[in-house]
Amino acid sequence: MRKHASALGSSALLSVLAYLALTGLQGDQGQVALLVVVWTIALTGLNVILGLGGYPSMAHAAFFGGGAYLSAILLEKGLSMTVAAVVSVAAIMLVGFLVALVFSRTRGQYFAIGTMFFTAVAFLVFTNAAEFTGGPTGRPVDLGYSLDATVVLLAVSVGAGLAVFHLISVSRFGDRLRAIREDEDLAQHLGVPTARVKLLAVVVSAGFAAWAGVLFGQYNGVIAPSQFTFVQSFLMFVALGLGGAGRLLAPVVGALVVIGLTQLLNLGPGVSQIVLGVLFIAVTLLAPNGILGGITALTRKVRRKEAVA
Amino acid sequence: MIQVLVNGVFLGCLFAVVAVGLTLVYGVMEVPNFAHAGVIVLAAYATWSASAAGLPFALAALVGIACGAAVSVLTEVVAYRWIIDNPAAAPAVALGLMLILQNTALRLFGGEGRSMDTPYDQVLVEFGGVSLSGVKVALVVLAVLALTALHLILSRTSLGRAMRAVAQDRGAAAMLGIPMRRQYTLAFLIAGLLAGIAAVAYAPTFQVSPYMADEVLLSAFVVVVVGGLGSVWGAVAGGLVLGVVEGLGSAYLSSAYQSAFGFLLLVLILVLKPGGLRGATGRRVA
Amino acid sequence: MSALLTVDRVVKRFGGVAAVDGVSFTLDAGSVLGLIGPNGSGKTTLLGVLAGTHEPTSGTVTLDGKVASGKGAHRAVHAGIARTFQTTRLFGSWTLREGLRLAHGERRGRQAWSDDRLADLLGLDGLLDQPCASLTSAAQRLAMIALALATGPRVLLLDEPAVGMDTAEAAALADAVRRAADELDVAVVVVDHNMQFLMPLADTVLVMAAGAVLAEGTPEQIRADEAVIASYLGEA
Repeated sequence: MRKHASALGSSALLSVLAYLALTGLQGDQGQVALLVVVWTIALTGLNVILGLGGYPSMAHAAFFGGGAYLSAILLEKGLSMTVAAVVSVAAIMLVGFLVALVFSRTRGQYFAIGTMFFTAVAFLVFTNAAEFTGGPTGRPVDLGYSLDATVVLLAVSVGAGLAVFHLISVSRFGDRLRAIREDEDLAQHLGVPTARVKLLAVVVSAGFAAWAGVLFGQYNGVIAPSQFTFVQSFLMFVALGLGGAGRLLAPVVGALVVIGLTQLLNLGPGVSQIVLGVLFIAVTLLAPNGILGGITALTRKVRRKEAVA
Repeated sequence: MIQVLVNGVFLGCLFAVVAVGLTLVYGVMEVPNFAHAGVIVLAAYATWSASAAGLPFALAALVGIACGAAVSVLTEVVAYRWIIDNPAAAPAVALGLMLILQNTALRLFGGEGRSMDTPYDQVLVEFGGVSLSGVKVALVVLAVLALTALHLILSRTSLGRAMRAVAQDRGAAAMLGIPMRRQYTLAFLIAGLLAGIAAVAYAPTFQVSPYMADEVLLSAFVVVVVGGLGSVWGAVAGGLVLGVVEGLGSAYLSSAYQSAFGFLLLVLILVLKPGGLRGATGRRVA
Repeated sequence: MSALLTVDRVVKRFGGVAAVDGVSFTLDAGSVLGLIGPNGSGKTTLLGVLAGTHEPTSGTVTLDGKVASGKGAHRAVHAGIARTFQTTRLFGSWTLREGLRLAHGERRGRQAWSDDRLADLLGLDGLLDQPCASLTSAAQRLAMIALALATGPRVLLLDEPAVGMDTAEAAALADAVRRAADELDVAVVVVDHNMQFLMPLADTVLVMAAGAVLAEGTPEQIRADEAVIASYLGEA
């Protein structure tokens, strides 16, 4: 029970912090806060398939962009914001289902390559279906909810998303995903319907990404293909790995580090991404369980030393 | 129609040269080398810089190819070498390296594209009613030469046979006393040379930019998946098939969606013949 | 009483090669079948077909009158057929208890022993909460059997379970397998090269050669079979 309390408590706390950051910070800092919050929501979804299941999905930026574009288009067609949002998220989950149906036959690195290619194709659609998407320069997004409502939704989604992740993580679904990450063949030979479990995980993660995209479009007011390239998928993968894939708070830590590095520190073009690359390799080599995993291991070591002393 | 097919073959040769580099590295080390794109970019910029500094094109090209080889070997020495026993970390390290290499290019040369001049880019070759630019002819010639040379090395030299043994079974190769370290470095060296050749050959048809290799890399990865990771001839055959498919698609349907046709091919293959891809479903239980 | 497991003319080809070439046999609940034969005779492939790892090229496996083959490994487990592997496979960073919990979750309402009883059966007492990767190799092979038993199987397939065990460990394993067969009424198929381990354990022995059944009988009959001695036992 204590495990639930601390997980759900920190989820709620992060909702409050997100709200304070979104309302308190202005200008560039406000933009950073928005991106961190949106990424946290999207990465929480990625944490299901990649963190728990160990499947390196590179389709996340496409789902994210899909949610943003689809809701903007539906809103323009005259649907109410709520209907547009629900339909968009559902449609992107369906797309996720199809992507998973094709690529869940592949494993590990093949899965990464296939889903990465999917994101590249989605980018082509965002760029070339100008009639709907506004082409390479992007399109405006009509205001569906008031800005205040969007801020509240963003903040609530952070906590709610993390809480949902926690519940998934402690459920049988979470166990089955972790088993797939550890040894997929063994999992299947202990009765885990691996194909179905992976499918569900991709669909859930697509839902998170699409919802994050809807809110991103609402708050940002404009969306463009360059925000949803496969490099963004890479960065999301990097962010989750940095945070510590599979851990509840990995999305928060990962979003803070990646967005903070790329947006906040003014290092000039390219440098922040070079730093990110170096950091990512260093963390991968030195702390395979990410920053959070590294901290856990470190505190355990310190405590053991204290116990000895 | 023939013109379209010839263009497809041109694309196919490009994909094949890049894909063979990927598949060699995967074969010996099980690394999906996303950083290959960065190697191509830096090789292209090296050629461009050398050429802008006044070197004749042939020399500049050699500088570029050498640069590709050097950068590729560097990635192995600095990063990949440390994860040999931990293949699960490979995609992460590869992505990190790709970020580093691409953004190094961005930092050094800026984001705008540069055009690369060659002595042969004004040449137009007419052949049986089909016209081909000199650049494309040069690429096809270079690709055929490079892949033939690679084939001879792999099949005729003891070094090449050792490499194929490593790709077959690392454990057994190590037991036979094949020095593994050298094989890894060698694979990256050859991959880097091929990346350099690809960069020099196709940069003149596009532009030199930090992002010039993104789409090519994606297509090359599809080739590798279609042809089977670790299979050189699979990569060559897959490259030609994908090149022709993308060439046909972009000529008759929509050129903006060129790489999408490659994606469709991949999806079709996965749906129709999941078992037909050698190894694509990972290692199965015996 | 009809047999629990019926294997009917099972063929499995890889490319053009028939690894299993028309194997038939039946197995009753609570009995132990020893499967022997030279390397490459198709034992592991046959086990794979029974466990749903491989789809048979032709032929069927029926469990209690229902076709169980060709539907994938997880469906085989849900139907009540579980297997272990020649090379040890475990969820390395998990404790055995965590793995057992997962396996219990896939049991589909059938009976299985509790974690403690399984640990007691296999001599894994006190090791339930250790990460599987930290167990000795013999304990890891036993842990793999514990996982398979936790799925509540009616048929248990063991692929060279005694590999790497010394005589005492193998004897304890044979004891545990016998008890599982008797007390849980599980039908067991054991592949092994260790005759000292297998012959006292098995009720019947099936000898395979080149994908087909060379001989079938009680351990005593097999020991006396000249064809078997010529092709297999004689070498050992």
